[in-house]
Amino acid sequence: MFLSKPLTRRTVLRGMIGGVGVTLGLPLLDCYLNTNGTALADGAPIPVRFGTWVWGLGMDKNVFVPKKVGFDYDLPPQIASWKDVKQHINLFSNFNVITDGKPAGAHFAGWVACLTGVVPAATGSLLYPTIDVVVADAIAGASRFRSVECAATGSLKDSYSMRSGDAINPPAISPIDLYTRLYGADFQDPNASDFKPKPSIMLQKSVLTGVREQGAGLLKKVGAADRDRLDQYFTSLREVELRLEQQLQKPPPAVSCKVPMRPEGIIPPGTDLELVEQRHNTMVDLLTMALACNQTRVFSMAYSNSTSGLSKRGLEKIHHTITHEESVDPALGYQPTSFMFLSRAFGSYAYLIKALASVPEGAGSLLDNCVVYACSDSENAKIHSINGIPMMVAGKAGGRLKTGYHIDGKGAPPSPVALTVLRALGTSVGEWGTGSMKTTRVISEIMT
Amino acid sequence: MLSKNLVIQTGLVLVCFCTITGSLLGDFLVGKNRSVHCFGLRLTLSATLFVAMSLIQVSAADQDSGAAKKKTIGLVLTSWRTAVYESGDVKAECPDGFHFDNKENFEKQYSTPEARTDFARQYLYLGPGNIGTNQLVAEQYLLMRGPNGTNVGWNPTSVVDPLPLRLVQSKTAYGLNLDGTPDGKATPKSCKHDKFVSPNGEQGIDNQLYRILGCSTSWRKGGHAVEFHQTEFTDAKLNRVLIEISNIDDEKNSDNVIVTFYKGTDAIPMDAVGNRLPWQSYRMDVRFPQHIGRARGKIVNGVLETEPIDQYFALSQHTFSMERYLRGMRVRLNLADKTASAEGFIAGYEDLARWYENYARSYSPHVNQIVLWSPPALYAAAQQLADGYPDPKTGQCTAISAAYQVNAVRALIVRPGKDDPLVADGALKLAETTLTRN
Amino acid sequence: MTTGHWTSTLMPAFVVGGLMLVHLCAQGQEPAAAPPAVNAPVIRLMNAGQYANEIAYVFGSDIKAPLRLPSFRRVDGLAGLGAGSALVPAGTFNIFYGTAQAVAEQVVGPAHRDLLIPCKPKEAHMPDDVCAGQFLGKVGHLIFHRPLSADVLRVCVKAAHETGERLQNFYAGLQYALTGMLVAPEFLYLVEEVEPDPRHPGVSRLDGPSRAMRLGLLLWNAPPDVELLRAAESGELQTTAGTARQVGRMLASPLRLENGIRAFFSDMLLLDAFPDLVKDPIIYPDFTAKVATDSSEQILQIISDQLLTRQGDYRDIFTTRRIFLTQALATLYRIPISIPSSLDWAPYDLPDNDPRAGILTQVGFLSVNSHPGRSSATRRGKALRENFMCQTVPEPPPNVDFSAIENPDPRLRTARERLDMHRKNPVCAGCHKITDPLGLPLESFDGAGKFRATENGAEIDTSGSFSGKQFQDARGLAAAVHDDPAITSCLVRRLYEYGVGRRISAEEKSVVRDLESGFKDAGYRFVPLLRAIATSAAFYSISATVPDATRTLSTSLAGSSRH
Repeated sequence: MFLSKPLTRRTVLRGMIGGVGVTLGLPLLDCYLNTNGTALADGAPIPVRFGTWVWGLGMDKNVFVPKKVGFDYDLPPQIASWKDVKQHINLFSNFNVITDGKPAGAHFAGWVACLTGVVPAATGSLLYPTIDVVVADAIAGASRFRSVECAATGSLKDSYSMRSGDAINPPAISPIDLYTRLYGADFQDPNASDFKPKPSIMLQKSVLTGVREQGAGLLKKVGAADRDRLDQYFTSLREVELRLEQQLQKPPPAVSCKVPMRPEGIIPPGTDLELVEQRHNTMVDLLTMALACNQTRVFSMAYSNSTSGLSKRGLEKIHHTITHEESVDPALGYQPTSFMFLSRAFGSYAYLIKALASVPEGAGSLLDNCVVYACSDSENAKIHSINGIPMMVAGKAGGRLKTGYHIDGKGAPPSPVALTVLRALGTSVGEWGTGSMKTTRVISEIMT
Repeated sequence: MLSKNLVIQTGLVLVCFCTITGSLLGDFLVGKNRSVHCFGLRLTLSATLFVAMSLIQVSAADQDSGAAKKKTIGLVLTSWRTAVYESGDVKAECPDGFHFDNKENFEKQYSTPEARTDFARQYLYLGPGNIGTNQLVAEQYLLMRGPNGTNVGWNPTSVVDPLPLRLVQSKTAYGLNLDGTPDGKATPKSCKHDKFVSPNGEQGIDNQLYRILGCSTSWRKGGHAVEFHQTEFTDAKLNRVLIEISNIDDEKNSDNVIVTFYKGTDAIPMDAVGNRLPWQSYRMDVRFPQHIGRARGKIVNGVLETEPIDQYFALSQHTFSMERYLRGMRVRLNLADKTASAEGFIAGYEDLARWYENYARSYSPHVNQIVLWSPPALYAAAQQLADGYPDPKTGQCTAISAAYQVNAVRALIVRPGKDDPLVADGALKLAETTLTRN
Repeated sequence: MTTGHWTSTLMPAFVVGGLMLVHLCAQGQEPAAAPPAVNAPVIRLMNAGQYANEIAYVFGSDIKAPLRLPSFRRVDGLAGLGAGSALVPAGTFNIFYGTAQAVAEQVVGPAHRDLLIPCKPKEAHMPDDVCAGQFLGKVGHLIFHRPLSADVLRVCVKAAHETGERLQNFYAGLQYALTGMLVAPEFLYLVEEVEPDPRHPGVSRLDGPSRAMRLGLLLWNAPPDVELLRAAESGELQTTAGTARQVGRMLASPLRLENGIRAFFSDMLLLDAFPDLVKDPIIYPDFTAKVATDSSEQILQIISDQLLTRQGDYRDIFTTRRIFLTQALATLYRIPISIPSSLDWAPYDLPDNDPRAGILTQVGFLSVNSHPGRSSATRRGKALRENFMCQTVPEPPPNVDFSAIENPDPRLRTARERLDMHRKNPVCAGCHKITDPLGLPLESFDGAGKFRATENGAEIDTSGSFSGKQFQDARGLAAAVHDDPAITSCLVRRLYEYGVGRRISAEEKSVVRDLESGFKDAGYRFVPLLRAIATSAAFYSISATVPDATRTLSTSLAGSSRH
């Protein structure tokens, strides 16, 4: 049994996040107390939130990449839906995934590179954590959920949030599933006037403490490699303990928190475009409130799967097949049906951004205290190209980011975008990526 | 896959060929002395073979066209609606308006506030816990306006309604010509009555039930009775009506088909948007042989028509299950095989007593709110308009002509296995010798 | 100790240790590629099926254990191997925790407590350590797969005591303690441990309970039952005769053996794809959710019937005419079938002229390896190669030029004509030559698995050849597949790897070859193959050393950790 995750300098560096000498992966009691100690009540900074949004099959560059570079870019047809939210979105074009000779696995290498900074050695190789996991390690604090993952496709297999291929975070696959997780029996309304700590919660916590303590005996009996695996289990166990402990305290009030109603009706299963959109938007509404109600600080939304793509009623072919078989319309300059699928995807992205921007928070909105990092598996799905792979970063990160820019990467690898995000979130990560993807650079044009 | 006939024919050709060549060879070897005699033999042999081959070919051709395999079509009904024709102009059908309901008749019968209060004092009983908020329950007392509080829903002849039922005044209706006359004159099996013309111009339509129900809001499009029964018909397994059309030569035109009606018991599957799916298997419910009926029929240009038979149907209508009896029942169905569906009419004379009992039990509790007619008026109209099977003593017709619009999808009708609890003791018995019953 | 011992046992261990050291020092570098597998003890994370079987065994099938998790990473095609490296991130832990709470609540609930908790507390509103100890000790022994040590039992009873006291309810106390046990690592992780081998000093072997674990998981897809634990703890499982006895017992338990066989084939045949199987409602309106569920279950019923009920030749799953139908499935098959209301399924023997035979031609395989609105010869061929023959189909090359297949000519009405283009283009042909010829004969079945004679009005050509045999139709393909040696060798290899929980090492190739020839001698019957594996010495052999107890734990409970 070998280490599921390698120990690298990067790992140790990440362990220095927060400057509190915390060892990575564990929201220590100190950290948690600090967070609570600097609660909103006394005017301390509102916590920054982070999310990833991943879609499959790239974009059509002739009608996606704005002509203007810099602030206040134009909106080509594929992103016309961003009309009301463009000012919140930074768009990144002309960034190339440099593979260092590794095979650029179709529908795989692209998103892995954008989310982990590492080009995988082969298709299926998932050895590095995705950016949201790294961020959650740092900023999840004592929020009720370390992170929340959703799959708009409705499939358990669609999650772009993982510490490694052996530790993929299981997504919520329907609005009701998400609602039950977020607002089920354990939910405590932060704005409720009558708070009483539940004795059952204290008891649960103490039982789990007992489990952890007696379970340590198991560590003596297994090999070193498996100890690391069990470690990770104990980390998760400890996080649940701390989460329970936190629930014994009256949660700080969350001004914009409005507890949503249970979603009515059931969205039928399937990857039909209309169903995915409906699932996505309903889950976004629930997720937005989860952020506003401080249930979590980190989320990940898989809008569509990088390989199979979506379908549409009555169309024999799925989106993926269409990207390979549909010819480019000479007048339009793109594949019309594929264009349609992707435009709708960007419309759903705009829905997310608008939802976050609609929640008032502090002097602005929830989005102002957020960063949402969006990426895809390819630039042009037809030829599986990963040069010019598109990314978006929305939200001002509590004032540390500027928005509304179109940044031309001039062929650079995409890793500076991720590193910029990590810095904006207040981590002191020094570098991101490996090989030619390694960078220490940030995109200064969008940093304040 | 090589056809049997081709194999036989090829074989025979080979035999023929070998016989000739063989004998020629033999001839050559044996010598010329026996040539004439042997030649004749060989010729006969070959000729016989040749003739045999041709015969086989002919009979094979026969097999391919004349005695073709008979086909069977199975159907399951997915909709059963009282056929209420609406022209679009309500005034044409119901110039005076819709039915008076029970409450209106009550108010006519007890025309003063004092009379009503007195009536209420005697008959309004709300029961414990029922403080008058349930209007449906409360207003049922208005049915007790027969003598000594008789419920007029159960006893519709106990009063004469001051406001009689409004009947359809127009001349168009769905249905079939059931009595065989052009003008509705009295016959041994029917009473004198007026006829309708069908929407596509067919004369001589008998549908007295439409005359009665046509001015009921409940039975017109969007009305309660219609909407309720639409889903009830498919949801209640009791309402599983299976129709098997056998002895078919050609699905478009067949002279002498046999149509068997069965009661089924299995649910009808739906697709994602609510359409009923074809090709499911449905077991015959052989526990109740009276629901199995058989009639002769014809298919002409894809439309099936059957000869009249008397048939019992188990139906759940407005939550009440009972056995309805349609006499002189005929079916006209358009078998649209491309969509694996069919639609048309089942028409016949509804046995009045059974029909009214269904209405009494299932609808009359709701006559004040959602069903909206008045039982005594309804019953009186039905008695008056009844046009089928006169009672030999009194001359009162005991059945009323009716038509039901039906839809169906293709079904696979199967017998239950011998271990299936559906199988009654003893074997399935059909009236094999007579095709119609009386 | 001889040199032979040294080389064959300690050397690998040193190599392992050395590699790990190198690993620890390798900072700022790429992780090393996965090294060759070594016969190490495996620690598997429990999967949902094993969890359900365990709860049903310990508490009865009345107790529901709702658990829905994504499958583990597949290694060599098997999620059962990914179990050996699966981690528990916070989200997964939460899910396990929720299930644990649900189970514990039912167990102590009034409907079940009398049956499941035989002892009664002195007072129901107070803790009772004696009764709690009895119950938790007995349950703990089963769910932790080893007798609880005095310390651990003390912790469990203490938890029950404190909560029972606080809530003034004995059963609530038990509920909390049980919830804790159901998220304990000893329950969630199916651990194999080693002990010194008394016959070979300095060498380790799997201890009794670990041998029991392997047996239970392979044969029944469940951790060991009471009798197997007893055999483990008494040392019987360290003997050939003892092992054979337990194997015989377990193979003779039809329901539990069926669970095991189903679990293996569900993994090998990727049946976890079925919950996501949805067809276009306009193109295939009759492919309802029930059809999707039934079609997956049908595969398992056919396999179970052939391998277990009939104890038949494994290869006959490709040619069998005996299938199982529900009303929903029969509708797609257009087969008239009478099924009593009380049953869902009925067996059905396909008539001689039916175009279907074996699992490749049933709705499940055909529909799950198709698109929502269309069939896919390529996907079906790929599934046949990868799932049944252990042959890897390479990824499409990243820079493939798709202009050749762009906007396929609408005059090309059948899939064969459309896919022809792939096979003509040398870049595409490499893989499509491997997949398409196996999928094209199955084109007589559309994307929902329904039979069709034509596609877009054109006759479908289902002829082809495989493994040296020519055929005209799907049944011919199935017969050719039946005889291909890859079918049986793949099964043996997969089953063995599934059992040992990891990829086979180079030394084990000969073991697998021996099993293959034994399989052939047994007429390719599955149960004898299971027996052969479960009673072989190789199945239990490991070559790790006993962990050094003096090594300090670099990880802890007080808070520091690596991930």
